[in-house]
Amino acid sequence: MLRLYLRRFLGNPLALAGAVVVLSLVALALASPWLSPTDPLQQDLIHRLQPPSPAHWMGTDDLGRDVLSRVITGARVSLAVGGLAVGIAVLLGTLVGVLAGYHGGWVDAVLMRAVDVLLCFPTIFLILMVVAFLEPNILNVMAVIGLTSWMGLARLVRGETLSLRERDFMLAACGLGLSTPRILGVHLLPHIVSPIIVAATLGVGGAVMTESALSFLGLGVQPPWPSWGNILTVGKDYLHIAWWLSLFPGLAILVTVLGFNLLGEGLRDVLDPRLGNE
Amino acid sequence: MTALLKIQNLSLEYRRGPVRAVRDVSLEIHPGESLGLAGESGSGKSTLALVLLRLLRPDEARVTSGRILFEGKDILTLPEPSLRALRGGPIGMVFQDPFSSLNPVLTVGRQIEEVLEIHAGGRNRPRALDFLDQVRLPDPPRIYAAYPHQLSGGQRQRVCLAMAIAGGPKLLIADEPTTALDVTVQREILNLLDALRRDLGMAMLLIAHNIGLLSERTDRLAVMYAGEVVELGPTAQVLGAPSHPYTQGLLQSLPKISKGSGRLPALPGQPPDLRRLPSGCPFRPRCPSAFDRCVQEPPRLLALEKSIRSVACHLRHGTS
Repeated sequence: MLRLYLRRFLGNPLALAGAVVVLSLVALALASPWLSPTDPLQQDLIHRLQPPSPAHWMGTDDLGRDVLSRVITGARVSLAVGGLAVGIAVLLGTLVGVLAGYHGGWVDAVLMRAVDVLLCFPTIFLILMVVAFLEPNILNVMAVIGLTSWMGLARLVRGETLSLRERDFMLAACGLGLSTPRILGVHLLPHIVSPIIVAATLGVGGAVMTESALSFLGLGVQPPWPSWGNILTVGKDYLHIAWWLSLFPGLAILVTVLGFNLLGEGLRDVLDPRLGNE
Repeated sequence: MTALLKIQNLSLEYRRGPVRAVRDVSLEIHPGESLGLAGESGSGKSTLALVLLRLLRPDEARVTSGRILFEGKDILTLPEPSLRALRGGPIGMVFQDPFSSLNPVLTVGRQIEEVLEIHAGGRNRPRALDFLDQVRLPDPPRIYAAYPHQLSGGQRQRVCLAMAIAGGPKLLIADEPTTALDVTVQREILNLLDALRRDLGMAMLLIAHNIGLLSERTDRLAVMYAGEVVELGPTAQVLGAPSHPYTQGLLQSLPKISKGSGRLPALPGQPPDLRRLPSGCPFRPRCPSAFDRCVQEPPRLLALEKSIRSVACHLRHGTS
């Protein structure tokens, strides 16, 4: 089974490209303290707003900090927020989806109407509302993004659960005297892992974007700690004289989101059981 | 002899409709006995099998009356933990379609050991292999490590049987266990069922729409029509001299080697819509010998005079 997936994965150039990008980013984020040329917080007011040069590959910002170091360090924030926010969303979405789909009846009705209501609000509005009441810091940002992005996953999982519930082997499992948690954990979950993995991978891209947007608005990661979003905030003020301040964090966001989307799309193809064994 | 399973006046309806799928059914299964249950599609036999283990979803179907006593305890009112202990343990079940009743993502060994874990005190590979051997699967270690899709239909149904007997059942419910299989494999599986029943001393409820399959392998036979048992008695007697017009029709529509070619007589008409049953006897619209009384009054399942057989037909019960 795993060998089959691996072979399909290696034969899928888009998935492979996505994986390379994502893995490089993760490595970059993990090694950022050693990879960044200078301390991302260290100011150098004599060399402020320097264009890219051999000394500063991505130039310096308004306080003379090295943009390359800040972008590399920002990767850590973006991936951490993206990963954990999606983790929260996966847990919550799977829980709600399985509960609604398996139990059916009024539980399903209540949970899914709640999802409908939450989906009516624009996500950014929900996030702004929550952040307005909480202190803007990285943990709150993770929690908020996670808590506002599980609804789509819940719907997906509910749908899968509904169709699995009607399969004979679920009835057979029940007929063997298995308890409900065991039926759900051992017999149901393995069937819905693939779509969850795909949705989660695609979700990381979205979460990275949301985090950047929040930080850009000043509601996410707080300066001086760098995040791609708040580097862009500074860049905006100097757009006409220091293009590098906006270009590089922007590119970082683009590459990251692209990488996760490619990987997600690729995994969708790789994990699709309808593709047969060839 | 006290009955192992006693179904008393059981009625059940599906909420959608409502479809009255099982109507006032009473049956008994004694320890070690094999009871056959025959009837057309939609006659309520599978519903009956499922409700015996309370496997119907409460939001889809509800029991409107009656009791199901297993060793004296009413399954319908049993608390959930005791019910789970019963399912797959003292009452085993084999489903119709072995292609869909095994979990495709778990190995055969894993699925058998799960039964052992719940009903026999823990996972145990040698015992799992032993059960695979008991259902006469060749090369148990290979089957043990295989996924269901790597096995043939007959092999899968044997695996399902192994899972059912792993719980040490006193009663095995087999719901059309051979319908999804090749004709050549059907006989093997039925013979295996029969042999296991004798070896392990289980009672069995064998359900089939093909009345011929039940002839050699059951002690008693119940014929269901439109949710009711219309005829009940020792298999040889019921098949040898059917007394309900429906049973007669079913038997006439079986091909016989001795009769040679020619068109088989078929039962005219369709089983009734269980949402709108005809007045009186549900078989009346298709019955060749229906008369006035059949319209006015539904027949009840009553014992034939001086016999252990019973039948639900006005023709046999005179003016009682």
